[in-house]
Amino acid sequence: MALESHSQPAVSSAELRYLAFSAGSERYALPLDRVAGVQPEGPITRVPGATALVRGVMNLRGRLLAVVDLAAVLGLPVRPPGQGHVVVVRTADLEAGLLVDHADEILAVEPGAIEPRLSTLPGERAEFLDGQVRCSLGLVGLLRLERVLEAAQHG
Amino acid sequence: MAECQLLLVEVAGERLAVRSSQVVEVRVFDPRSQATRPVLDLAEALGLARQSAGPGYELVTRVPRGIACWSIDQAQDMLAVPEEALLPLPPLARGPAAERGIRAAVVLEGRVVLVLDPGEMRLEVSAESTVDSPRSTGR
Repeated sequence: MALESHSQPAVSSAELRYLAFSAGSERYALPLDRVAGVQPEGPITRVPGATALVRGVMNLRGRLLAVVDLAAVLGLPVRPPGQGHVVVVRTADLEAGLLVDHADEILAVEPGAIEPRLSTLPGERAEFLDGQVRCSLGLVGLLRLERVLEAAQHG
Repeated sequence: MAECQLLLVEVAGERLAVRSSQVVEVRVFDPRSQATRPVLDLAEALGLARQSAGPGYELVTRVPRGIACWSIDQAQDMLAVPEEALLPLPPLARGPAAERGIRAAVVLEGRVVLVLDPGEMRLEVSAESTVDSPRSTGR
């Protein structure tokens, strides 16, 4: 699934755009400017010694991409390999893949529509969220990408 | 363009590559050789769960302090790749893997194959890390 295939809603200049995706029965999103693409889950090679949160490395057009299992990071049930999608993400320091069930759609979000994260979320999950939005998909958690990758690196 | 010869081996269901310049020989595992030279359990050294009933072969490699023997399931193939095809592991996978002698990988038929450097592996020989016999270690 190419990222470009998602329908993109009309956005005003004040709106923020996020890519929403599914992990287990839950929905999460990342700012679109952190997303470099979405790939079907290909063969992933396990890396000895890597934390349990890093599923392995995969070939991304001749480059090596470390793939982080988002469900494992968030403490959700981990899906068997082979049928998910990899959201390719970028920070200032690195590029990595987030293994998710599937990408949903691009959300246009008014800044004022972002709610604080639920105080009832389990502690280990709450630390990975900046907030949440309500939309046609339901409740969508806005991920703190750096925190997710940091957790994957250190287990 | 400089080329690198790689030997592909299978360990615990995983395919790994070793530079052939570091390989002395591959031979059928013989438990009697333990008396003269310990055969280290490569699956265990890499933290992989062995899938076969026991080691089929010994991979004899050059390391800085001499020779090290590793148990493997089988040797698969020998191939040449350009040196540029050996890619460093990405940061999220680099640190812990380097301690196990893995710093690079190569993409073969679209799949990532880790390149093992036996000279960078920790060679701590203990009773648990050596292989007893071909069929006695079915973990």
